[in-house]
Amino acid sequence: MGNHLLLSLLALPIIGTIILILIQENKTAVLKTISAIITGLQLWLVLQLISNFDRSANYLQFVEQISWIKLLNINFIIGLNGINLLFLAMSTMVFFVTVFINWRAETKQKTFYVLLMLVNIGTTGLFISFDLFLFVMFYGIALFSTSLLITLFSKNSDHGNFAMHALISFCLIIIGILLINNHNPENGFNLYTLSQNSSVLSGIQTSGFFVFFIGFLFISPIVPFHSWYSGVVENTNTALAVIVLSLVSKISVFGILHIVIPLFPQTTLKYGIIFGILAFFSVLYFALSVFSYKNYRKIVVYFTGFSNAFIFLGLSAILSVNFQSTDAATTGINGAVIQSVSSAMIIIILLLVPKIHRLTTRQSSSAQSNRWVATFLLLMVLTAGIGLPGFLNFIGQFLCLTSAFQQLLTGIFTVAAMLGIVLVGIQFFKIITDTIRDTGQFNFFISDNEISNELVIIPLILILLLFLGLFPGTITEIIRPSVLKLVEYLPII
Amino acid sequence: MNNHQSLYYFTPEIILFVNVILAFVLSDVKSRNIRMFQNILLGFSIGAAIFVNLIFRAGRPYGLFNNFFAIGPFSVMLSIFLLVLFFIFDLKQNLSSDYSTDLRLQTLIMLVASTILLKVNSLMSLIFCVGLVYNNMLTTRFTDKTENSNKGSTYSLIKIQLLSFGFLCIGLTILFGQTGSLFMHSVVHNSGMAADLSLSFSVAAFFLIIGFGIFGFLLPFETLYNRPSRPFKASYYNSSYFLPLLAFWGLSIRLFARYLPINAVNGSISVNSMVILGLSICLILAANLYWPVRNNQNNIFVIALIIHFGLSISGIAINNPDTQAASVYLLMTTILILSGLAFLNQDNSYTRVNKLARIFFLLALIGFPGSSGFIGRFMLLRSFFSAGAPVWSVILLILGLLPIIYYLTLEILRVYEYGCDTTFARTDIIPVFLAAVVFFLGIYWAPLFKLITNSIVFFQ
Repeated sequence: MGNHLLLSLLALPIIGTIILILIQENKTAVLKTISAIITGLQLWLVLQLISNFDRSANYLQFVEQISWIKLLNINFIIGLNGINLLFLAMSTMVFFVTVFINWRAETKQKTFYVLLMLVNIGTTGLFISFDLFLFVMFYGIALFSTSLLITLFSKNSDHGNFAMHALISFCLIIIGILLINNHNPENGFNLYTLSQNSSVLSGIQTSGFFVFFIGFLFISPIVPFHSWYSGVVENTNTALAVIVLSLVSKISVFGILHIVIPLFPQTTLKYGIIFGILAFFSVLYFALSVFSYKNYRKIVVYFTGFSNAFIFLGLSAILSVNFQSTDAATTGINGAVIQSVSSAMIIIILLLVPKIHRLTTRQSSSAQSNRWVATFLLLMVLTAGIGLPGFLNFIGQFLCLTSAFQQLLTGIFTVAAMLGIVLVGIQFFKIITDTIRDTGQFNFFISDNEISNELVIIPLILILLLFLGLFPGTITEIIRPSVLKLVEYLPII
Repeated sequence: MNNHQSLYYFTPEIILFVNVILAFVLSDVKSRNIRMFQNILLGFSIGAAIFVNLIFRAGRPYGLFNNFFAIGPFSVMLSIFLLVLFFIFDLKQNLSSDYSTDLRLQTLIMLVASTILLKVNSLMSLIFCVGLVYNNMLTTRFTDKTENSNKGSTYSLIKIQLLSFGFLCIGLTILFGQTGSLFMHSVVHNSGMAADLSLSFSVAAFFLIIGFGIFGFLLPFETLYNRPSRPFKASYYNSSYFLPLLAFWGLSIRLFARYLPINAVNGSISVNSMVILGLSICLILAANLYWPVRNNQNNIFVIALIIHFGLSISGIAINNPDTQAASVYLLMTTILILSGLAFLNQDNSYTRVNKLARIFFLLALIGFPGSSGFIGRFMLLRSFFSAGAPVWSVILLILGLLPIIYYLTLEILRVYEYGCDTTFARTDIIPVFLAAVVFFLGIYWAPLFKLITNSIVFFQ
């Protein structure tokens, strides 16, 4: 089994989908149990992958290569490097947690879990695929399934917005892949070979970069492409909000790290300032939005955009390569990856806060000790969200800020980001004060049975964030060789 | 090779013809043994067609039958596809208790007309086959009692057929005027004769597209997908509609490949091709605009059909082996998907299995990765890039696909909301089988694509 860990990881949700389809709709307990077993097994496999991962190597590990369509030189290539492994671990954890968050939900559960498994297939596949055709197939599966989930489970009539964004993004990625294949048919769609010889794509550096970059931005919560997600997540159930905010919103970052930078390094460096500009506008917009709303769900929605802006700020540090300094670029990319993972975890627990907020109110029938536990958890979640030192979120933000601060222009963006942190911090402290005093300024409304197992999930994720925050080497050791390799692709002028 | 020397190439058609005569003579006998014998004959036709395809290799001359019919790998491949498709349709009627010998006779004639339409070599035989198809469609309409009661629908069918026939004749007359021959293939090779007459050729091509196109574009609005409560007979007839449809398009591809000058790979695209490409893009965009005007759930399938044909035409217009192969692949898979949907849409029962199949077909029509719908579009767009088609045309084609994908997503949601009567019905085997084929062609499409490419390269 050790040789086929990745294949097993991909096969599990496929088997899960088939089993779930065959089960009757009214057997919700069976549906949930099977989903929990499948995602649990995936989590166990990912832990196996992490423990067997060679942290000193910068080559692909756990590679599975099968010739698929010889006609177009398409191969089934899956493998892992440090960055992929981290994103894979994040997605597996998100799916596992989502099943338990959704445990008490009753309506349309078969559809929910089948589509959840399809999103699982899509995201797991795209995080491990090293063939562009394979990538685009999994990308399509992930986006289409998410669109259907949103359309079926969002109470907002705005769901078509995401579908359109996803569709445009998918089409642009297909155009990009066709551009690459047409320019260089000899190498087929092999991403690893293409990234090793990115000079073969010199003729389409600019067009390829923009097609892929804009394609990925379309599903990213970043200004000015952010319109899809705020309306969608506002009025949807928490489990779906977790999938969209902590996972789907990170696919774009993964795409940039996995495809855009390795294949189009010259243009990435030339137009790297775009990352900074996007981060600058997003951080101000989302921080002001977080600051101005009283609806808690909206605050979390805009906080997602705010966290994403930091990732882009970290990526803007690659500009330092222009000045023959690769250290800042390495730090920036490290920060972007860590921020992606930490913000995914933070968003999960932030979305669970309304349930524990119920326990903190005076009207709650819970015992006094429970109330204090809930208040303590809420306090910890919100402070971790702001970036309290000791939590992983702090490490991610700190690395992004320090790396971007080393250039004059991105330094100005960093100052704006600091201002954003202050605004978000004020708002989060207002929420804490509101909770302690029970003044009811903020709207935490959630429907019954929407969130389950919050008193187990929140502490576990907080402990994980604290552990990784205190020992960031656990993560940086895994991603460092891959990040260094990514920086090596960038040509020093 | 001409006349009787190549007669054995037409063995499948001869066996089919025997089947038709048998069905005609025994039309009043409803014996299971006769049905079994007819099915065996149909199986023999498929077997003979496959055998002919195997022995008929590239490099051999065309098989001509008195110059009226010509046989080549492309027409043989498509006729096998038609036969298999008919066999699947027929299986459903065999599984049903409501078996009609009259209807079977007419659909068999439709099959014969369609398979020989694929092989026509002269303008006269073309008109003969088209007439046979149209006449048969009308008689089928009269056989169906429920349809017969709707006179407006029958008159509409006649009008559409006359219109289509008129356009077709104009197009063919222009072609005859330009090439000076009634035959498409003859001893004197006359390929690319129309190359110097770009404008008039484009006009001819336009008329041909409209002529064949009306069959695919207007007719379905009246005959397909409507009224989900229709009886089973109508469903059988509607599924058979796809046989002549594919035959028409197969023939169009032959005509285009015959008369359009071939573009070299990575070469420039000719003015003729650009005109047809522009027209097909207009057609796709116009089809998208039609749904908001007639926001009817049944129209969505017809619009999807038109858009996919528009895509196929654009590929054929580029007239490069790659684009043509991708177009034919897209056409074949679209027919598979839509015939599956036509099957399901006309069924009275609504089971869990056919609901699942319906959702799968709609996803395939959207272009969900893992289905042949996705591969068809991907291969077509890829071939556009490799053929050096202008980027704006590719962007416009992709833009033209976005609204229909959105409409179809809404249709998926509508289907999802339906309740189910039972878990499984006997006739569900057919759509499930078709869905499995659509899925398989989405995962492992290379052999079929290679077969199509080889057949197209040969007849050029």
